[in-house]
Amino acid sequence: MEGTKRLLLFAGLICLLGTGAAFGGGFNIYEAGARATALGGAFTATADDASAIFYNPAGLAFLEGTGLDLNLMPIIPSAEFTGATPPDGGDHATGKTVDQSFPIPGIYFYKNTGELTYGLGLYAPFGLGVEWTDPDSWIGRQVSYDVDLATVYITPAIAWKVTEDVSLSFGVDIAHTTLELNRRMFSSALGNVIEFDAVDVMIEGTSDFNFTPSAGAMIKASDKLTFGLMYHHQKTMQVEDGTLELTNIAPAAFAGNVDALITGLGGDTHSGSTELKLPHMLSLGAAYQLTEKARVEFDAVHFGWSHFDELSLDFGNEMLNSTIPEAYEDVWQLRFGAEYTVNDKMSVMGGYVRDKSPQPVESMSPLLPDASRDDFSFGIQYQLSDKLILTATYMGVNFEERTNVGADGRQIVFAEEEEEHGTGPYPNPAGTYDSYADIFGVGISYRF
Amino acid sequence: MTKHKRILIGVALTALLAAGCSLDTPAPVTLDYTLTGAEYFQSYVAIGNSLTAGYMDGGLLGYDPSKSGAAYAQVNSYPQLLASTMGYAAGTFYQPYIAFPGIGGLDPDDPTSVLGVLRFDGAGLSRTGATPAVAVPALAVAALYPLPYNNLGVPGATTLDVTTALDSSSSQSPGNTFFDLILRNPTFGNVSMINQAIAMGPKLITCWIGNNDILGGATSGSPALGVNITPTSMFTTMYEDILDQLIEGIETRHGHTPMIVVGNVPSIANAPYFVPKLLFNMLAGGAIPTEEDAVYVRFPALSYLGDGGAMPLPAEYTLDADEVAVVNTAVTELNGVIADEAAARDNVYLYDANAVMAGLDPNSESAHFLALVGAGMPWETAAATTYFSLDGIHPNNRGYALVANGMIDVINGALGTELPQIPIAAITWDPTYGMLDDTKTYTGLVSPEAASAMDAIFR
Repeated sequence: MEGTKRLLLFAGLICLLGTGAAFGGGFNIYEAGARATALGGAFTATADDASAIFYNPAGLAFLEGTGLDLNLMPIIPSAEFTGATPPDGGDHATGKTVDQSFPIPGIYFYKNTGELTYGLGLYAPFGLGVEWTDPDSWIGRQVSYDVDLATVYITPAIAWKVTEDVSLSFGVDIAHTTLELNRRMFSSALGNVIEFDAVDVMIEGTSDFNFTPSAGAMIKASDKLTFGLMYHHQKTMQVEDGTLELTNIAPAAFAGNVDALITGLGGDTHSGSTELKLPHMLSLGAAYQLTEKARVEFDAVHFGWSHFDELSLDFGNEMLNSTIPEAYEDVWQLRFGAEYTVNDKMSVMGGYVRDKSPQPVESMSPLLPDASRDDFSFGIQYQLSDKLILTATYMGVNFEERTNVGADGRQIVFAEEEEEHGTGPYPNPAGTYDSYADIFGVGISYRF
Repeated sequence: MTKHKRILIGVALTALLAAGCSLDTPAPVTLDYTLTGAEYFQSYVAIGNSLTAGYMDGGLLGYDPSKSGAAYAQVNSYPQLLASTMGYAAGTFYQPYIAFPGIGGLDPDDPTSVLGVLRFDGAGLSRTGATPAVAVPALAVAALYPLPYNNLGVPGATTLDVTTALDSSSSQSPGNTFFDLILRNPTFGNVSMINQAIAMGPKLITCWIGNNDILGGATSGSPALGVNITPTSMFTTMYEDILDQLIEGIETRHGHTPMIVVGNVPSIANAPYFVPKLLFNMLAGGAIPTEEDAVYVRFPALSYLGDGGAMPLPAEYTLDADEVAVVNTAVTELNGVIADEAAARDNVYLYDANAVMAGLDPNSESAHFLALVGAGMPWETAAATTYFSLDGIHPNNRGYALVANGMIDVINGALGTELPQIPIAAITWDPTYGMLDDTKTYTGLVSPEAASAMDAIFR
């Protein structure tokens, strides 16, 4: 146990250091365990390792003894931006994200006491990390040049084996969010007519702990067919301790003016608040044992992204406040996974996900250039001993190319933005994004 | 593990790698911000001189902060009238408002005092008041507005000033503090009128400039090409500069091509400031000896007469036939340049201010207010008859509405829009500023303090 305690601490530390990346529609991260990820996340009706605490704790009821799963899932995202060619035929802007790796943790523990199984999990189902190279010239820097958003869930859950074939689970999702946003304020926004980067703005905050319920069910309909159902309630994370720091980065000739403007804004440090709205997740899964060695699962996951209607930053000052319209839409994700048992020690897995973006093209921004994706996954699970199972997985997340310029050559924006800016320019740059992500995962399952 | 299973896994892996791993640099799409119709009305900036600023009665005056609802000339500038017609909500079209008593000229007897604007006191012209020179900046009630003004008209600006003047000292009329009050440099980073306009990214621009390139000569009494009238070739270069910089600057920085309405230079013959000699004699109540072939007498001569100045009238007060010819030639040539430059560009349209002014009836619509009153017309009727303000050069409220309507016609004609005309009959002008006192203590029609303004009103 000493060793596992140390591992647990280590993993916890990683999770505190690490921040999220955007890899389920919007900024959802559905990759909470190496085995589930190898199966394309189609795991609601399988849920046969400790990561069930996220995917469906009802599955725990059918596990035996005591188990500890440690997963580490480094996500390596990359995105490129090609700005639209201006109407006068001039050069178009380009942008590229900094290479980063976000280690997503998944730490789960369960103990089966017979009719009831207790579980505790720590994972990060929502996160975002987009840093653009060259903050001094990145065209979208007044929206964001570096954003980090991480939401960690701690879920204690109880699974109840109602009958030999039916189980239910209840849990509490305890969530905590940290966010940091770096952007620039242009001189024009401060009233100066010569365009230069006047102020660097850094916004950071941590949320209060937020408690919402979660519940799941698993039904073994026959020897071959299992149904799973899982629900995580939506959340509104309250960030009350936000701070906003203004740093004068104006050229020397204007530094005095900008200093005066910062003083006029009430100094270089401001406190404020924001809300981060997270969607509910409802997954319906059906797993089918095709042959003795092959099984497949199909899941449909509903995300209540319409909850994420806007992101408003309130710093009690008209020039510092901002309300970013998001207007996300609810989406269904389709997940498909298959597993083939090679022998009594090894199995191979594969998966495919069709992930429709909840983000309307109007709110596609340097903060989060989302798009619909196709994910392909692959994994191997190997039983080292009676107590130890190792899993290695890879998932490729392939975003569709997406542009916010319509066929008529106009940027697609919200009506209220058009009212304010006419034909533009708008803060979100006009152009096309393409993104891709590699997700690697390793998992260690220990059975006591 | 059999061999074919291994192959299967290998194939699956390869397929996965082929499916993913592709991060292509997207090909650029092309923006097309060709504006149409009413889209041009989404943002509007006016550049120009006193005519654009809403200068009237020999000065600039917006409203009286101490009296709510007391609105004066600037509130009725043609850019403001246009903006309101185009849908700008009240208070969203920003102008460099000057508070009561306004800014006219320096008091000749006390250079530390800045006089307000002219007003009709019941018998002749007086002033709305005076402000100590040190307190003048406090009159600029919109000084802290954080963006450039939508109305960037600077009284006194010449064509060259549009692109080069940053403040009074770098302008063609050093000492003209309107440059400092309106361009607000160095606070705005030492940016010229044209660049402030470009920074705003307007979709519609009105540019009425060139008047001061001639007027300076005409009001001096001895016009001379190249001395106080800008030579045509130089004017052409400067004018092309303005249009090209506006169009290219806005296309480059804001991605759309603006529509520009340019106004040309009205002939002095149609401004009541230049009084035909016959009419002048009538106003003065007798034949006034002048230089031999004088055609026009400048309005301030009335004040000279009132002071009992020596006769014959000094030459600076008159324009003779040759001088009139010089001025008229310059007007024709400059207007030719303006028309040509507008015609040579797709999105530039001409408002023929000269034709509009020439079309006014010199005996009523373009007669001086005092001439009408002197002819026995009640002042209220006179104020509702003439289109010119008390300074004789600048329009009054009715005149600026006439200008706005002319521009509306040009805009509607170019865009096929249906901006409504401003009902001029409903526009009132009160030359008394509510200060009718009729306690005249001076002789003639112009009080000495009013006269001091007269030499500065060519702004």
